[in-house]
Amino acid sequence: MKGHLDFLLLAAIAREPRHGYAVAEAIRKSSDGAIDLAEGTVYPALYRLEGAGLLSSSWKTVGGRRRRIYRLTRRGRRRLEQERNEWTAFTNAVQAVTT
Amino acid sequence: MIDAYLAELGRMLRFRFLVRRRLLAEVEDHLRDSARALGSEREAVARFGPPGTVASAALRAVTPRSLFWAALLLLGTLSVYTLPLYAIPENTLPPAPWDERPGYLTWKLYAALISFAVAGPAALAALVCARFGWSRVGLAALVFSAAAFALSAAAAAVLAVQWAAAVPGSTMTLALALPATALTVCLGGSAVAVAILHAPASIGGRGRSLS
Repeated sequence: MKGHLDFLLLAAIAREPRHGYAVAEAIRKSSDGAIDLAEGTVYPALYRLEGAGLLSSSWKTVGGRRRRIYRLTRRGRRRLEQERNEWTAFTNAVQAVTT
Repeated sequence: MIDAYLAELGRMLRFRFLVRRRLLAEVEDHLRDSARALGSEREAVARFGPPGTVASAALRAVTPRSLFWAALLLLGTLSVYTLPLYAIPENTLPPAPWDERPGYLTWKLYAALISFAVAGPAALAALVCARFGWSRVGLAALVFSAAAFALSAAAAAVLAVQWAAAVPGSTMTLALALPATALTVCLGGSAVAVAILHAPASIGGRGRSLS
């Protein structure tokens, strides 16, 4: 999972800008609970992706509370597309070997 | 339970003020949402993971960026430092009254110039390291640059005082050069402090190195 954390986070945020808790929940729900992140790893990864220019963030009031909302940058979208292509190629290759 | 977790996380980040405030705010929101959904603060905290792991990972994530800005600040400071080191004395000092510069001034002049010549490339190396995520090497280069800068500033400050004493009519130069030197040294020191305070625990010397 460690090597794919960035990919998962970018994909979850690509659907809509979200705060950290919503990102972890989106990944859990989208995978029907199969991917259950150690939640404490989410924020350092978000900071790292933001530092790399793949995400941007800002404080917003959501439901009366101030939350840090993350969104994809243009560079982040390009990276996500690249990660998707690589993942598809990889799974196709594995499938070709194992079936 | 959540309050105790946040207090522990805050204690681990107490000297990393830039990342501390933001991380604590985000983690608190996360834990309260999670506790509400799970119906248990204990479970929410357990799912989140040990505070040491979170603190260390967050610091590792923000270090390259802190180092980048610290190195940039140091480079800028070194540029400003050329004023008291060269531009102000060169343009305001009265002519020296000697044919050959006294030895006690010459070695301080060379010390100031050579240290300055070393500090610049080292700060540039720190900037490049930060850009590529080589935090440890970058931090070492930054500290080395700052040390060379401090040596240059110290030698230049003593030189300025002794030069002013030896050359009549150089009081104004001294009045300009010393505050400018002090200011640039303060800025340079701040750059290094920012970098060290946001370095991973294993470099900064506080807390545990966790991965």
